[in-house]
Amino acid sequence: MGEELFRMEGISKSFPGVKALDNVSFSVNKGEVHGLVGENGAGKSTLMKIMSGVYKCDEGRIFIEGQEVHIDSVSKAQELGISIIFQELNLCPHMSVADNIFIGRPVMKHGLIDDRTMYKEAQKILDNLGIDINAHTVVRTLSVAQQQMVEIAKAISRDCRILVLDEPTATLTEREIDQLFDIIRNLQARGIGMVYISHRMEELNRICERATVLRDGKYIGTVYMKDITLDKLVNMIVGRPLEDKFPKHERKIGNIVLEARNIRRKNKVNVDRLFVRKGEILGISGLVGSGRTEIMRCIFGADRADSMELYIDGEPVKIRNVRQAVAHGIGYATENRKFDGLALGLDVQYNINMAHLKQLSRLGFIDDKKGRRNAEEYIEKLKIKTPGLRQKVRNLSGGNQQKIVLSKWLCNDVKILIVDEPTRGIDVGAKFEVYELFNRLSDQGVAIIMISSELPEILGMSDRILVIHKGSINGELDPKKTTQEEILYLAAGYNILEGKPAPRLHAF
Amino acid sequence: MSKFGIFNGERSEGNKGFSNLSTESKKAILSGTGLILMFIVFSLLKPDLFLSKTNLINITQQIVTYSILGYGLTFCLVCGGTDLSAGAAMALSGIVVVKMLAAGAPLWLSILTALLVGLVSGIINGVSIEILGVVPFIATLGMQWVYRGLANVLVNGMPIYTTTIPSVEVQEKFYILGGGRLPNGIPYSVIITAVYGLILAIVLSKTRIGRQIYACGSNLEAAKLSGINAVGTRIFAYSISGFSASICGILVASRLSSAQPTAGMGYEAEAIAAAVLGGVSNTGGEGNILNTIIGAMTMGILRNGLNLNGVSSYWQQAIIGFILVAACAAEARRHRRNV
Repeated sequence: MGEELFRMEGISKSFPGVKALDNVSFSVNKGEVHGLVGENGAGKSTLMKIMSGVYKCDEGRIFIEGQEVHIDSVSKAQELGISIIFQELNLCPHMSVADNIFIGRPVMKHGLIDDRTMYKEAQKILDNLGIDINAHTVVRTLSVAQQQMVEIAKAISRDCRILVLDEPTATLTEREIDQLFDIIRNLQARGIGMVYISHRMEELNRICERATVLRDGKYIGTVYMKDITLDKLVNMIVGRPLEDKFPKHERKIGNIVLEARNIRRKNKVNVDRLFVRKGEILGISGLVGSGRTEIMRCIFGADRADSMELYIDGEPVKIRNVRQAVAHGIGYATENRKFDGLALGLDVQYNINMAHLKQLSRLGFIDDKKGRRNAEEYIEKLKIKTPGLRQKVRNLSGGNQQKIVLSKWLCNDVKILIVDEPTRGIDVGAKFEVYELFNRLSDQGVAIIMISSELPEILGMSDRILVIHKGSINGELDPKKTTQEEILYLAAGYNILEGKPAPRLHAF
Repeated sequence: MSKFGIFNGERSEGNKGFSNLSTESKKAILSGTGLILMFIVFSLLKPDLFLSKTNLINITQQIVTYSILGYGLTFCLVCGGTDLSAGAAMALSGIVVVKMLAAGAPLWLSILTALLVGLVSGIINGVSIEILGVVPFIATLGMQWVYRGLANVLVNGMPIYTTTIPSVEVQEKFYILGGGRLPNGIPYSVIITAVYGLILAIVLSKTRIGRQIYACGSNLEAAKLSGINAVGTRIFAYSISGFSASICGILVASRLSSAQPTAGMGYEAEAIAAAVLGGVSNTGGEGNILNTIIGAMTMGILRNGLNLNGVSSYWQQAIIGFILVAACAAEARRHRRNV
């Protein structure tokens, strides 16, 4: 193990009404990837914001290579070589990769910007890190994974010694995660210390030597990953034993409720047949960009399909727009809840009732009492933790926000609920509650179509799995008989390369 | 793919073809083609009138106004803001310069003061947006009233003519600025526009502050987190707009030998239309001076061509408003496709 690079001692921080951090200590060695875990609200972000100069701590000391330092601003932290890569990437989409890497301190010659040298330098940095991106590319045209790599290159070009990665893999596919890990190992070899925040336990096991657990703003402990089982680690995080990551459940599956045939849209979607039964959870797996979301958007009427035959309860129906889909009892909880699922600046009651206004109004006027009753009902049903109906949704945790997205659809009496990455960015405890909610819905006969990049979730929750590759169904699997490896094999389309057919459970 | 050639997007090595050009260059080529087509159409419709020397000079004078105001607005638009006070700042500067000359101040001092007035008006816009936190639309709309009101106050709502300048020599010297021509017929104002445009093009594409303007317009949060002084950068962009408006005001007052408190009314809308038509994004982060020049030429030729073909100025106003919205809609459509 390398020598100590960075240490925080006895850090405390209070906000009005909350003690966010209480006597927390944390250290990173040279060339180490140190996991930082805890439920949402455990204090991870606060700790990292103190580290990067966004907040000042009330108590505690910070050392870099044994020297005490005072981090009082973001620029001071950058000077000291501390960089954070946030979940929401901070790049300028209209500008080139090189411009972004050298943002704020371009290469100058005779008082003007020397683009030629700057592009060369940027390319050198990218090549050294093993990042295969052209420095001239406009950032807007890059994938999320590539943009993240540009952020890393930007941090490294600023002589960063301590790099904080805040849930870097949340939106990456398995292959992209491998590439990211290669880069992380490359940085390790250069002696850069990294803090790795993630909800995904498997990744911590793969990449981290040690992990520090926070809970409710308190330091719980630092463990060596090789000495601890994942279950024990989860125990430390939630502070109570989770019987299982996925609630066990016996499902009552009925007749086919939704069937779609010949869904085609440009070259993105090409599905012959897809169906889901009453009370069934249909897992949709596939790499990001494989067309999973696009298929569902066609069914939901959000995108116009070039051709599509839909049957609901055996009856042919036409869905040309979202309103028709909603009228037919289809609900869609989107992938990016902050972007298109919630009105963050508005309150809980408003958001719950947002897709339900027709039922709550008479002659165009909203019945406020009815609205309040409806919102209260779902807060209780879904165990949404909020100080009140008038709380702004922005201020709730990710898990509670997700529940509000779901309740928005549930109060419309959906028969078919499409959920896209339902547990992204929410913590272990809240995930479990979302899964329980899905089970209860399936008891009530709701058919759930669950798109997810998390393989354990797909395997743990689905009754049937469809693997999507290049817009087509490349395999229908029984979760009890399949493995993560098989899903990945199909998602990457290796069977096609090897000339093997896609596995089927049903005649298509 | 690099967007930072001084005027047009400089191509990266090894990349060839239309699809590899920067968005700005693509738009410049598209709107440039439209410009040429329009020129041909008007030439065919009224060959004698449209292509006459007097008319072409007329057009360039119109283009000068759109360009200079447009340069300033380009800075504002690229950094994610807007400036609705430009036309009013232009009127105010024009009044200041003529008023000072009439009071017997030397030419250089009068011009300098007018430029300073423009610069300060831009800084005030920037400060009210960046420091007081008023949204750009409201802040510059409010300041439009302030500058227009001040212009009216200074001259009591009446035009002021350069004939009130005591020295005839100064009168003539002042006229040369906006109305004078080289022996070959090219107006001085065109040269001023070209040189000023070149300077601003270099500032926007090749200097640190220029790059910061793009960064602020593209992703303000990222710019701030990268240690860029976003407040200073954006105030700079607004002050360029104010400064440009004053140059414009001086040139117009000089050419017309008078300053009117109602001058430049609605010009900000036409300048925004010119910039957007040429390919400057109305949502920030994209656009350059060449785009604006092409847009200004398009607007100038359009107005002139419509005039010559007997379209009333009322209809022209309606058409230009429609063009502004259509140009923004075209861009919004392009953005949706890219997502």
